[in-house]
Amino acid sequence: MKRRNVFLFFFLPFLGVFFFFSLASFLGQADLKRRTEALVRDQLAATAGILRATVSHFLDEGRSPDGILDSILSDKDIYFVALLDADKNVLAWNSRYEGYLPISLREARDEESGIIDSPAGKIFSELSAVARPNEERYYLYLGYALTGMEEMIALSRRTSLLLSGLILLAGALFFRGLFQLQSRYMAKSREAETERLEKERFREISAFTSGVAHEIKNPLNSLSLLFELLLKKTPPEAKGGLELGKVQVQTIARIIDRFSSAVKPVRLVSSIFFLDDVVRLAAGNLAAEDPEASTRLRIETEPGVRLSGDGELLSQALLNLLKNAMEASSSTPVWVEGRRNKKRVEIRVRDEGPGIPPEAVARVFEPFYTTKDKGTGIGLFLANKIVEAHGGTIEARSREGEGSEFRIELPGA
Amino acid sequence: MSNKAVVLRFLAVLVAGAAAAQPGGQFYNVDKEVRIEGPVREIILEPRYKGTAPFLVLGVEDSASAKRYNVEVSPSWFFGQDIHGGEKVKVVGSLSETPRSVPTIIARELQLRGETFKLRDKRGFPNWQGGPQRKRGIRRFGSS
Repeated sequence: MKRRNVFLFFFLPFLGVFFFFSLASFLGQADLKRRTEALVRDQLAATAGILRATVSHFLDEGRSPDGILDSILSDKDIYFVALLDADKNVLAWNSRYEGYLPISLREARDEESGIIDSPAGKIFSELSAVARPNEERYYLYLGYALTGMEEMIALSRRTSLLLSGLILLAGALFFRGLFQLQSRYMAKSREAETERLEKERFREISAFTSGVAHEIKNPLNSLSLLFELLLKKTPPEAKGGLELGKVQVQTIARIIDRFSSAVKPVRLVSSIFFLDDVVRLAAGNLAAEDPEASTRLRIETEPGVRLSGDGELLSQALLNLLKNAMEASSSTPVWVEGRRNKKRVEIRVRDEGPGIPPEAVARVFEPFYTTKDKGTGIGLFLANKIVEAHGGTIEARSREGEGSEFRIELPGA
Repeated sequence: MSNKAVVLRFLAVLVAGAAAAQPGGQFYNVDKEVRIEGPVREIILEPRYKGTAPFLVLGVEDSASAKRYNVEVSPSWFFGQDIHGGEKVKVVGSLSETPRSVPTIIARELQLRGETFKLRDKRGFPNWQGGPQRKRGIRRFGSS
């Protein structure tokens, strides 16, 4: 899926959900504020009613205005209170803050309430008449703190912000993970596509090489037979040149065989066999090809380790590694070690030669890549191909001046 | 600080003791805002509201009417400025008059040496008080 599509299918719905959540949260807060204000208004009305009744009672008792306010003021939520006469002159007042009694007698109307925004927070104010049995008339001016409401709204806002933050964070984490997943998927797709193209190319090369090999080998066979016939009919003093020609033709045929086998797909003839046998077979083939080199071979294998696969092909792969190691170290020993490692089988071929340059280590298993003057770049490529066909891995480690190590890991039987 | 200012401050301390017994009580009446301008004639420190620190009160002679006013500024700790007798001030505040005493102005803004000091908001809320977090008990009252 392309990034644009990911955006359309995931990110936009997320934004929509977030938008609706924010809208619902905003409306919820507005509703909460409205309800709380109504609640506070009711509470203030009730408080004012009680206070008015109390004031009326104290007036009946003949208490002074100051004395009355002294008696009724104890509620911490009352910021200020004033007792006014019939002409709205302030008879007595009381405030939590020095000289603060925000009343405009010019504008004040009976039973009028309002909200005053002060640095100490919102204050709900109300001017109401005190009911008296006689003709006397008094007013009570009350300022009630809305800190409870503000705290509740602030708490609601904080909770909403926290939830929004959490949603955003979760969304960010989700999309980060999604994008990472998608990037990984894209990388894998690209890798798979490259691999597919590589295989395609390899198949084409393989078909082409097989065709060429076939076409060359036919005349080579004829040439070889011709050399055989000529050798039989040629006097002994002239045979040397013909022998050389025959050997060269055979060399060409061998090289073509190797190239052909390198490009052909590996077909396993599977069986169960012992690791020891594979190593011994490879060592025997090495001895047959290069008796001097085989004297430098040191074998250390764990007995009784069983493998499943094509033993002959594996010995071929091992032989290629051994030949490579022998060529790399002209006089020092070459070690072959084999052992079981949990469910896997490990084979190491180690030499004490000059080592492989770092830039070459990564390429040693590429076809036709070689650092040797007379190398074909087929041996290690073929070894890798055979090991991979067995579900195993092969890796090269080397340090210049300290030798190299090739490690094969195969599934155990 | 001039000698005159030092003397005024000394007098202020003396007056503060005597003024402690005076009943406080004016509130900031938004309907009675006035502006005056004139020299400081007296500097007084006296308690104005029950349970509070002494207030700085300036005796100011209005240049326009030659009338004397007591200007209630703020708690002395809040108004952290040097002030000297004879210095000119401009005051915006709420006027409170009683028949037998010097009229008092609760200052909202005070201009001194070209600098304006905001002492209360337009409804008279004192600027030396904290915001909503600062909860205090009711302890100041008075009668008009």
